[in-house]
Amino acid sequence: MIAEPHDVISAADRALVGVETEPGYHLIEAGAVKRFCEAVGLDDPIYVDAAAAHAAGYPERPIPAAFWPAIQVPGSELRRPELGGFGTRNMNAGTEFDYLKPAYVGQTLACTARIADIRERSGRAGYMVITVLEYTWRDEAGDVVTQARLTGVRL
Amino acid sequence: MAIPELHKVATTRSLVRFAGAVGDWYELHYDREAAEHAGLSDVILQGYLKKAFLAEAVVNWAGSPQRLRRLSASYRGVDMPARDWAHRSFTVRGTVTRVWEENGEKLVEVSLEGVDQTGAVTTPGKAVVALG
Repeated sequence: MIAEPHDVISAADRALVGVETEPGYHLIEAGAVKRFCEAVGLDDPIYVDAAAAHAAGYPERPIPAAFWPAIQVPGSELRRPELGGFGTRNMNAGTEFDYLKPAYVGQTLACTARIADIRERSGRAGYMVITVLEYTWRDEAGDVVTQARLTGVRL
Repeated sequence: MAIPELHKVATTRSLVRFAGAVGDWYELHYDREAAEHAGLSDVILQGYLKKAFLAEAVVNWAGSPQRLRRLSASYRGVDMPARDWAHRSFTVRGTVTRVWEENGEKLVEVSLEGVDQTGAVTTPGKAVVALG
């Protein structure tokens, strides 16, 4: 019988929690938004036509709610925990976006990333390590516009 | 209370467009041999593409993308693109599960399900919408 691994999260791994990357700056380009809308079949003109956005009451074309993966790049590499080399596969356990402030085409947003949590779990599916990555986008005023939490499972 | 259903059909072109639009070059979404080598019978939809479908459904109901406060999705099963020889689709269903007030806003929680052409729930999700 193979012994269940445990305690693969090292002190060096735990020290990564909360350490934020440098910001990566992203100009929200109209063309990039348009290509995104075409890819997902989003045909509301408010996202691509400034006149339609104004007519609907927006000061500028709003960013589509699912656009954030297109600018999910921080300014420096996010170091991942090593977990002692444990595990043979990674599973995407889900993503969560929080929308705090409106954002529009033409803005430049700063994207940073950090490890928000690393924890181990033992259950019916065996031993696993859950890592939560957090991406934060801030606008020119420094206000948080959107946050994304990505949960990965290593087993 | 149910929100209106949204029916989407993704083709391999959709998957290639999405890869380019978000800069995700993971082969499982457009390289069929790589997908088969990984044990899949076809290329698969990006998780974030399915999340975009969930977003469209709830934003249609909410009336504005700026009414969305939170959107979560988990990727329980894979979805494959529609082919001439395989009719596949992705339908988003949603139900209001909670209503409450917070910081002067009336908030609503919507439980979402992305369902494939067989009726299997591949993409459960949840949204919080501010109604006013």
